[in-house]
Amino acid sequence: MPVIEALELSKTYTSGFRKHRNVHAVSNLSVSIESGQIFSLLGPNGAGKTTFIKILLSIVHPSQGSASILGCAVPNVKTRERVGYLPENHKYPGYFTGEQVVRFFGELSKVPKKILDERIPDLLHMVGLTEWRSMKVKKYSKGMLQRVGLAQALINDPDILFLDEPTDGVDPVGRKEIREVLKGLKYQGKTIFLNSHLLSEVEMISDQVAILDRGKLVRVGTVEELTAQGSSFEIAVEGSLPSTFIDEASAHVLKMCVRGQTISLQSSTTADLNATLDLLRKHGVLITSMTRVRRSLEDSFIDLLKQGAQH
Amino acid sequence: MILFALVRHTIRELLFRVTLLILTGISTLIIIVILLSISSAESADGVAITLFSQPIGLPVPIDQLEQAVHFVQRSLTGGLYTGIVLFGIIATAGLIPETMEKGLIDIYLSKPLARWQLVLGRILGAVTIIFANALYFVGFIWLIFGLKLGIWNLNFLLAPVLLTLVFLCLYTISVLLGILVRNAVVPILCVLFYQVVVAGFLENREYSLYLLSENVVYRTIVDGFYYALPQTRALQLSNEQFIVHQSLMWGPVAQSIVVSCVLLGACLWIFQRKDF
Repeated sequence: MPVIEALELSKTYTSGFRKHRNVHAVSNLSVSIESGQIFSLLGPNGAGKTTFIKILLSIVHPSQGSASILGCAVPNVKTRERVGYLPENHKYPGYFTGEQVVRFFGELSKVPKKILDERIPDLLHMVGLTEWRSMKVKKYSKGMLQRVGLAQALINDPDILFLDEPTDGVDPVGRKEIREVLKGLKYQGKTIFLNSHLLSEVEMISDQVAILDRGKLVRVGTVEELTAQGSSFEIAVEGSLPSTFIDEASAHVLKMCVRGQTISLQSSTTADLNATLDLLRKHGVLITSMTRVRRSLEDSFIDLLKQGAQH
Repeated sequence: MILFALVRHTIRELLFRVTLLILTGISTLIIIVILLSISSAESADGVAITLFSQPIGLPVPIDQLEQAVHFVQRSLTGGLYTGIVLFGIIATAGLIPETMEKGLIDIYLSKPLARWQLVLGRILGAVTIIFANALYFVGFIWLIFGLKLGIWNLNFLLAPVLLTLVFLCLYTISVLLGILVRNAVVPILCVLFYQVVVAGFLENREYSLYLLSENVVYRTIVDGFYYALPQTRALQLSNEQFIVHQSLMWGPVAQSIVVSCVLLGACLWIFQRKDF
């Protein structure tokens, strides 16, 4: 059963002096997210990623469409007891200490005092802020603010966690720690909705990835699915290739490059790949190995956006 | 629990504001001065209230000492109104715009609290601290006059309540503007302009605005504004009269409560519909 479901969601902002110019932040967005997944939303700046999260959390009202969280239609105040959110560029009243931030938002999340007393030290330890828990947040670095933000998002032990650029400003060690935290939460059965520009990170931890461009959903799938398309192969051969091979194979491949005994090729379908291998065999060329060269998520992402721009 | 947490947080936040600290400081200073210096001196002409052994006003017959104390309390209340409006509005006008700041409002609204609770929690917090300030000042002054001069003016104790009502009226205007313009400067300027200029002219419209024209429509419009807008000046005058044991005018009290509720409703309605 999906824990997050959006059906033809749209959000249009009006701008300009007489509010006659429409900006479509999200257009007809339908997506379904299963429980226990790490779902990442990718897209360039202004793609509508944050707006989408804000609609799900009723921070922004949709212009059209509907959404549900944990089976309840949005907006629903009660559902938010089971949701945690770390927004991008979050702010806290400067006179709060790290511990007070977590406690205050815990109280707003209706967490009983006794549970807060137990949970706050654990959470601060988990995000590595035990030592600085009594320091005013106005003195915190960006990375420390991200950590305290993560702690406040987790204070109600949420079933769904929305994270908007959670590793922004965090050093590499901290990023790895946050990734481990997210993996641990996934292991506990939590659903994590991640907005991030760091594609390498998304690639490492996501189960599902959706790409959003100018408010529209371009593609949804697993990292494997998104990176498989347009993958290339490296085929190591023995013996010399006939001079006609490149011309004959061109009907089956998108790109091909021969360097010595190695052929790098990219084909659009498995049948085309097999046809190329058959051609090698027909010419008596011995295939010693074949390796799939996976594309990075970044390459796939950029290609998809380029395709979108061309259309 | 949520509303309580928000009120507590707002109070705590306001305790860090210099303007409110100044107001409390001035109140404390006045209390200390009155505590240490106020007394009464009897003479052949009667009895006079003294401050640092210097009489305030002319001696009055002993049976009129009570009225003289009421007069002093009335003057102090007038000053308190000015202080509360000035410092109170300056200190609290930023609460709502700051709550609406990107990055903070997102966290608030992602929590299981309704938007009206957020606005109401902030307003209640501000009103509570203003009430506490007024009660602190009036309470101590009442005690000092009671203990040192034996005058226990119970009517004086209504001042914090009416003063808080005046503040609530003005603060709902400030909150409404804060929601619309998302900054503190416009609400502060508008509220102070309203209290100092608009409310004054409307209250004394017979001697000011009416003089501009004898047109019935014009005067009806002026009256319309008077009855539609918070009658904060009338409320203050009524309070001052009540301290000197004249009857309390319930009209401005009821009207101020109704206008505050309407303005509060408008604040909640607009806040509910806003995208952040």
